[in-house]
Amino acid sequence: MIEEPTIWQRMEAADGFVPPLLAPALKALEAGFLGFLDDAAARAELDGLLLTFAGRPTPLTEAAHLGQRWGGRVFLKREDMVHGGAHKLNNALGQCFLARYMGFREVIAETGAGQHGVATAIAAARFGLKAQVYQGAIDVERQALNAHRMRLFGATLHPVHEGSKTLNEAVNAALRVWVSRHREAAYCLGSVTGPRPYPGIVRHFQRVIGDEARRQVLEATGGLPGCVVACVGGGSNAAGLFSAFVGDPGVGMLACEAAGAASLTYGTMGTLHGMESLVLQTPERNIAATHSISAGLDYPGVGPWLAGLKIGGRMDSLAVTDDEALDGLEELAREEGVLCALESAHAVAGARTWLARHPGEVCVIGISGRGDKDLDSYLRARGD
Amino acid sequence: MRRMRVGIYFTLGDFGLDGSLGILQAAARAGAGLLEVGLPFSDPLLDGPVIQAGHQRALAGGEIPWDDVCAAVAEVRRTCGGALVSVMTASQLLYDPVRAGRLPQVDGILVTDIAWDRPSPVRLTSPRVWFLSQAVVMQDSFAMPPEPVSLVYLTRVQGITGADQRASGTTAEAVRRVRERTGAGLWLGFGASTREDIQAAAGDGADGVVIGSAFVAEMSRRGGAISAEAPAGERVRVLSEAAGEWVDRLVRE
Ligand SMILES: Cc1ncc(COP(=O)(O)O)c(C=O)c1O
Repeated sequence: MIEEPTIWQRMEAADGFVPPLLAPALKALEAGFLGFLDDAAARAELDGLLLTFAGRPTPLTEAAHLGQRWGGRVFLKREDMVHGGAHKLNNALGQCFLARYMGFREVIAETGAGQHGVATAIAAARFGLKAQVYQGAIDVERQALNAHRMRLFGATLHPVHEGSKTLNEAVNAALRVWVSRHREAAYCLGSVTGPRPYPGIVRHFQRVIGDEARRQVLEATGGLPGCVVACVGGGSNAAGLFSAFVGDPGVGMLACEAAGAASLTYGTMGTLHGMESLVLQTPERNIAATHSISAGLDYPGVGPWLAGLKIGGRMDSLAVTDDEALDGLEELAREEGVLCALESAHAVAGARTWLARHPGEVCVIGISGRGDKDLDSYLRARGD
Repeated sequence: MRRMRVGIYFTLGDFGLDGSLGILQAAARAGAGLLEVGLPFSDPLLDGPVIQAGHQRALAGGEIPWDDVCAAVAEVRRTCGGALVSVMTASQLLYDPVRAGRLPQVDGILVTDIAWDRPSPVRLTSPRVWFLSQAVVMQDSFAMPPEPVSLVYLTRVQGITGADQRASGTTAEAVRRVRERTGAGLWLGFGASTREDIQAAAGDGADGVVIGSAFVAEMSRRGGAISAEAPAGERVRVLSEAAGEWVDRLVRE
């Protein structure tokens, strides 16, 4: 019997909204990716790099103090311990590998917090590719550490001064460059967003987070968790974690968004950056301005797979304020000795809310990255 | 040789709805054969810096209500009888079928982000403009339009909009391949700005050339030179005159 595809599967596989100028490049990418999936030796080489270079598998750490305080058991999936400091390398390593596999010598990438830019710069250095990274001018400033890191890894950083000067505009700029240059450069997209085949490719490279976490939590507790919780900008770390649990009906899934950029919670269907998904838009259908203290969540759209989960009722979403996220960052640091990224801190806050409603249960929080890059932002908001 | 036609692109609402209307009307009076009317949008993905700036100017004073956009399109259609009128927009602005259904009928609608081989997933109140790139046209798989089309818009270059880009060497062959599949009028666009570009397009067998960034840049230069204290009517008059002169110079042989 062939099962009907779910709404999230259909939304992920849907045709993109792309200019004809990009259609041939996207077709070639899809063919290249399918070729890679069929090539056991290539897959083994990439898997090897995840172990020997990226530092996988990452640990699942029980946060015993948080468990006591919140009334349940709390586990942290430690993507902050991936080389580069965030889950982004899982995908960047995969896509840069694919770029080299398809014969490209150069990659283009957008970045918000700079973590995907750093990850792309690292992977490009590793594979001998040139990297061109586009980042909003405001983000270059508020994530200065990452800007310096990208340059050290040999990438060229292009600050984007148009429009919002944040992630949305960085994607516009990178896509425009790719329209002109797709014959010589691959586009390494940083989240489960954009036109087909990107949402599926990125989720494929990120599902290692969930596959590991599911095995680890079964080992640690003898059962499945009540809920998996992750922050959502475009949604790549959440999609990676949730992929391994979506088939377990008893496992809840909670997507934690920045309250000022909560497309799952407040968005409506539309098209943005080649995808058809939930989008924050104005009454006149322009793309809405967003705000978040965390640059990586400051984005008006969300990946179609997650939008499908939300629309289909398989996943909940929660809008988390800047203040709640800062509280989460502080509590995790103080109680557990883990300094997480401001993005991930939204998931910490969300897990706390979830456990308050589900006392005694087990939850797994995706700690998507480490917080060193955010110290300046933190001090500006909370320092005295 | 067939007489080449010159089309221009301009964003509705750039220099206000009145300003953009005046510019489009003057261009039509001066002999523009096609008015490509861009609908103002916050995230024009396919445009270079000059046209991006036009969208930003159009939205700088706040969003333009859809009813006003529709009324302006109807006004262009009503007052510019000699020219073909087509609307150029991102799918996002037509995503809601009720809104999309209110757009007045013109000669064509070009949605910038729909694949060439896919029937429009958004509602179109006018026939589709078949938007093609040369790379697509040169593929073995290039086939008939997926639905009736009123015009063809073929990109001269493999890039975003912007003046002074060299056309691809395969243009004549691409034009021939399109003509085998549709009798619709064929316009070349992206990167054209000069008389030489127009002559080259004629040699390649196109019916016309659409000039965007070069025209918008000239309007923005002329518009920027008008004193901020000048009354709105004066502004529209100066811009209209400039648009008419600019088009007239290109159209005259
Ligand atoms: C640490 C971290 N977490 C999360 C995100 C958000 O991206 P996504 O929703 O794709 O996981 C970012 C993006 O920059 C990030 O750096």
